[in-house]
Amino acid sequence: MLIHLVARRAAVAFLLAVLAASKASAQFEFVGSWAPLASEDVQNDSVPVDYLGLALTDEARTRALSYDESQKSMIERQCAGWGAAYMVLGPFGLRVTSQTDPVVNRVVSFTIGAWEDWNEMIIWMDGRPRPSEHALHTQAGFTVGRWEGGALAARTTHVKAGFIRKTGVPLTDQATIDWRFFRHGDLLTVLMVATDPVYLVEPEIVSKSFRLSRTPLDYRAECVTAYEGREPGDSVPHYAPDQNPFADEFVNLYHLPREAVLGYRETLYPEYRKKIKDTYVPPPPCTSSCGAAGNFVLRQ
Amino acid sequence: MPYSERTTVTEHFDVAPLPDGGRLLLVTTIVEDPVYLTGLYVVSPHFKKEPDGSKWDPTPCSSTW
Repeated sequence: MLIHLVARRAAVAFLLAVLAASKASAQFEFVGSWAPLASEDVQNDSVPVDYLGLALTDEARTRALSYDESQKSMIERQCAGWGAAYMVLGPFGLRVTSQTDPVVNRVVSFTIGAWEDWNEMIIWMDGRPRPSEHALHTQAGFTVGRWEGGALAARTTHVKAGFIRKTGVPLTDQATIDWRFFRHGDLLTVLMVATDPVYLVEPEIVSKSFRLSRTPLDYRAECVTAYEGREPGDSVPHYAPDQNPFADEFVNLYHLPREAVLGYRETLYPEYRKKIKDTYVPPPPCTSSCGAAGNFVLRQ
Repeated sequence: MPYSERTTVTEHFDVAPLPDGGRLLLVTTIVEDPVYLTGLYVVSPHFKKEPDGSKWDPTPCSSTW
């Protein structure tokens, strides 16, 4: 009888161990330092007016064309930082830590560490409810995550109004950002799907990979304001939307139709190439000084 | 940009849902080449799933002078 009892307990313990291992295999070690890879550039900020890959509403296009990057030189805006989307749009890596409830020994949250111009993001893993829609909106927003199919899935809400591109394409405080983190060996691939009922006709989707770093990364730095040519109290630099001096820079560089550059929905899809292929005339081959700026100067 | 015969390409395919019910295919591709690359070359583009194959219309390659 005693032998049967011991055998039954051993079987139950084995079953629990197998179940625990199965659960663990559906997750991965997220904690660590993840370095950016130079082979992917998803910032799209080399020229002021390049909205390729975006599906914007007319309101968003108008606001984006009114943006002057000198706004960031204003003392009161230098340390405003960037919103949650900057996690994949910015140039830095990710330093991930976890916080554990010592009583139940479960992960309560992951924290993706701050950069000089980006606030840390907390991903709550304890299933807590979202705050009221009237609760404080922040640059990082409020993010809840869960393990799903071997990936870490998370959703960010409660963001401040900000930008989806550093060149001034706006995002409202009604935006939602869905994240998926996939790990393959030493690589972490992050997928961002941003939706905005005001400024985006279709989601803005960005994917970017990072590599596990043996050396801890730390991008924290105090933001210090300095005089950059704008006096306190100066007017906010801006353009009339139809008089943005950079509106045709990208157009002239690649001989593209203006609509292709300004974030119209149909330009997202391959069918658009068929539409313009009979009228498109590629620019002449570059022969010297073939960087983007050099190209522009040579082809003027 | 060349690659040598010693190159290896590793691809990982992941699927993710879209808010409108659609699906994305995320392909993380890792290129390693001990001859021409001193580090990994990694790209991770995404593709939106089409409802059917009606747009799939490959044509033969033709060369012209």
